Amino acid sequence: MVRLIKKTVLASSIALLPFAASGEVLTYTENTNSNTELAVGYPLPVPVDSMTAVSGFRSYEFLKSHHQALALANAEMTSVQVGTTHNGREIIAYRFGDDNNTDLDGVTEPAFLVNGTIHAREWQSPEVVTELMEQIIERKSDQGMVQYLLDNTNIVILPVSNVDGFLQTQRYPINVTNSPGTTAASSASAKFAQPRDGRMRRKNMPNVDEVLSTEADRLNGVDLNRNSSHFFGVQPDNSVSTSLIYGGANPFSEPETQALLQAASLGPESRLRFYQDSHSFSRVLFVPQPNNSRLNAITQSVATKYQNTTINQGANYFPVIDQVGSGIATTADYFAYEHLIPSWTLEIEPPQGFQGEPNGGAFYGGTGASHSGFIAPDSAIARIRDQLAPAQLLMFYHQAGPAYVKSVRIADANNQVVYAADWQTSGNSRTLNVSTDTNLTGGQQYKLWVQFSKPMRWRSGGNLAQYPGQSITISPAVSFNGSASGGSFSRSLTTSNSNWQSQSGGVLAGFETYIDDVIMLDFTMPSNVNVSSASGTTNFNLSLAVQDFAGLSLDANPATVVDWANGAWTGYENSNGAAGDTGGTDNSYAVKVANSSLNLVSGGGGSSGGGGGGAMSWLLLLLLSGFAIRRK
Amino acid sequence: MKKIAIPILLALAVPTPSLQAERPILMSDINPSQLYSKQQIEVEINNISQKDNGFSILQSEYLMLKAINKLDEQHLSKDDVEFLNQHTQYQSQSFIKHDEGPLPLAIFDIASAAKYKLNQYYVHDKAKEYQRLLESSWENYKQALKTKDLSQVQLAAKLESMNGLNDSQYSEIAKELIVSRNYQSPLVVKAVSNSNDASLVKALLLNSASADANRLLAEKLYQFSNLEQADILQSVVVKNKALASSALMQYAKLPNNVRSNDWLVSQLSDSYLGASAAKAIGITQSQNALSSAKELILDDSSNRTQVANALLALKFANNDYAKSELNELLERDLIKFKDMQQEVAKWLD
Ligand SMILES: [Zn+2]
Repeated sequence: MVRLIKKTVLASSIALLPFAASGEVLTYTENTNSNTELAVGYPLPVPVDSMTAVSGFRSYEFLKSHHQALALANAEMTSVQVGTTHNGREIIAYRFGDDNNTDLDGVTEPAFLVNGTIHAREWQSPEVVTELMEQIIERKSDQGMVQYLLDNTNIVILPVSNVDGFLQTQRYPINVTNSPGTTAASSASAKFAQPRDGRMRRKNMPNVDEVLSTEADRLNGVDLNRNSSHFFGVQPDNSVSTSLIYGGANPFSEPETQALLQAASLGPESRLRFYQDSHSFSRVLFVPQPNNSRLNAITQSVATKYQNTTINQGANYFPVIDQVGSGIATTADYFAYEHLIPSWTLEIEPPQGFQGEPNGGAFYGGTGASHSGFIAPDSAIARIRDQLAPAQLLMFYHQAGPAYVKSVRIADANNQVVYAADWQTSGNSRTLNVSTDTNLTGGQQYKLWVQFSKPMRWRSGGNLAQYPGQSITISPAVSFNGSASGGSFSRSLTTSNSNWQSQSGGVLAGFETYIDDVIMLDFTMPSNVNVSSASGTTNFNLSLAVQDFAGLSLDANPATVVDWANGAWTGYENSNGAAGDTGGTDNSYAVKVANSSLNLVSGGGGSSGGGGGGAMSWLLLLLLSGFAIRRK
Repeated sequence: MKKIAIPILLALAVPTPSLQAERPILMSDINPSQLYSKQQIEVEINNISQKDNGFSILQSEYLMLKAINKLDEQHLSKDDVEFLNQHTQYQSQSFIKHDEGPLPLAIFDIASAAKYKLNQYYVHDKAKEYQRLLESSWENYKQALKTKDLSQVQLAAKLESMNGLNDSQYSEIAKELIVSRNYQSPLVVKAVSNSNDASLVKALLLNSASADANRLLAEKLYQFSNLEQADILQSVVVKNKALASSALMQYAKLPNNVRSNDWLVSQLSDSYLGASAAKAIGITQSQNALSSAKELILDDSSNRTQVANALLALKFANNDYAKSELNELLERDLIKFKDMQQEVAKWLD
């Protein structure tokens, strides 16, 4: 009803305009140039009425129907109307996650926000963002990365924020109006230098009718990527209402930017840890840098990981790092400065300025005509969608936070549990509950089972692999450390890639919640540690050093729950227990080993130094030390 | 114009900083004087005619691009070709800042324009050869089309040479080409698209996921009878996943007497295509199909996919009947999946 009234008002106000001056309408063509035509060199995309992905660009009505269909069919995805455009159309955001807002430990989930199609003519954006939505749903039961994200985080995606503008570009897929200041008598290059409205509309549509030739309103609209509160109005043209980068009357004056804030509140804002605004073109990330060195270091690190994943997928998305403290009121500036989180403007391909790679539409064999980069050919978009999804998902996985060790089990050769420890979370802290703590024997065979809080490894076709473009050490590092007669000791266990568990089974049998959230290995308890008394026990601290597949090291002290505040991680300790952003080795599990099974020395001779070696070498050492004892 | 531009180009052949291919030109790579605002660009271009003693970098590049664009690719002299060749490696020296961030962008992409113009010239030149062949011998022409394309230019020239063929010639070429090429071949696509032959079009639509196939589906089917269209579209829906959704939408627009609404309803059970079938039913506004959808929602044995897609059919129909049905389903608690109830409630807000 509301919509009907608005439309009627709009229609009558147009009818009442005293003079409906007509502007010149220009046309993009495949190969024809003239005073009113400009060749881009390949067939011009026309929106396709398809809900599923095609080799081309879908029309808004069908994209929206597709999003709504996914939200209806999948309990993991819910729609939320976050606003209404100037022309009365719904703006809809989607939440991805389970039906609670807490992770598996009961801690409030972190959140991520991805915005799409703020600029109407950037047709690559809704397709790339929709692909991300599709992949999340397709992989919702993967028992790995995506299921983990759905269980433990809150992903908010706003696929099309400038609905009115996007529809206007799709209504006139090959037409534009001439550059401001030019007339029908101007040269074609001048007319096409700053094409406006129709296919090249960038701004939203306040007081704009949907008829392309109307001269009076064609330059109207607000640049929604200049309508935020940080750095509002810093560019001279931000206050010129006909400018391409008009910032509006006030920060967040526009229903579309208000809708973005509403979408952020679904996080909620305080839980946000990542923001991406998805634009085209240039094939770069524009990365804001608030005056916060820890945040900037983390942001640059994740931007490089994003880039490396895209390179692996065949497209180099280069992070262009902004000057510290500068901005132009983009939405990425807003989330970086307001919430101190990694935040950027993604500019989807075609590239610009890369040596050896043609610019804009010439990248696809086109003429390279001015603004042709906004018109990627139909044949390119499927590849573009696929190349970007893995990098975006990796950001969520990374910003979900580092893993911690949840549970440790050690069983003897008869499968009897001799050590059991579990971290129990309560609010922002955890306590280690050691429920079984039997003495172990040096030289005996045991099985170790360790569960982490994330799926820690990536698989390709069932086989362990690097996540696309990343590089981590795949096998876990496990050792026993402690101090005994004569000083400290460190004994590494032999580990291998096959310690990662892809079969279910739980405690001492397989993975627990997600594929590869567990390592399991057989080992011989080291006995080559010197003790001065045959009675009693010596503490062997189990030490675990593992990176997740995004390269984040473990939270070395799970007792403080990791969170995000003031632009950096909190409760994220390194091996020495110091909080920071790098993590380290978790050394929290003291296993008792009977001194009678260790190397008894009378004096303070000191234990032998650290070193590796598998079961065989330990056995050898055991025999040698046995001889030594007997000779005495 | 180009006589002026050539010496300017040589004068400007300053070595640009050697850049790694891995990154774009950044602000730190250029001299601030190379960066122009939109207003400066406008002023510089407007002042070109008033300059007698030399041009700025921006002005020279503007003139270069203008000279390139002015050339008629159908009639290039040897000098023109040389001129274009020289400019294919040109590295722009005047920049404008990217609207969204600190990235300098070449104002005029001279190298791309020159490359494209040259390429067009070679294509036209080669196409003329094929056209001469076509005029002299149909058999030899067909044979030439069938030989392997040695370059993109050759392929484009073949495509261009086909422009004047009639329906039956296209059809003949399509049938012969498909023996040795697949349905992704642009030559096959062009021949089939212009053949006006329903069986050829159907075969292509069943065997291609390309943008060309999409275009064919959207733009060329209308030339066939409604019955032929219905047959082609149903086959595409069943056999070609990539085009199935858009084929369903076109099928929905066919007149009632050739369209099977029962068949559309049966597609609601398809986990991949069911939502598209719901959209198609919405387009048809078929009362019978919407009643069947409602029955599917009420049927105890319906699974999640069926219930979701049947609800969608009512939503997409968006008429008074469908809205009141949805309201009733919600009020009487007849939607058996709780999460779906919540989404449906949002539609009706
Ligand atoms: Zn943009």
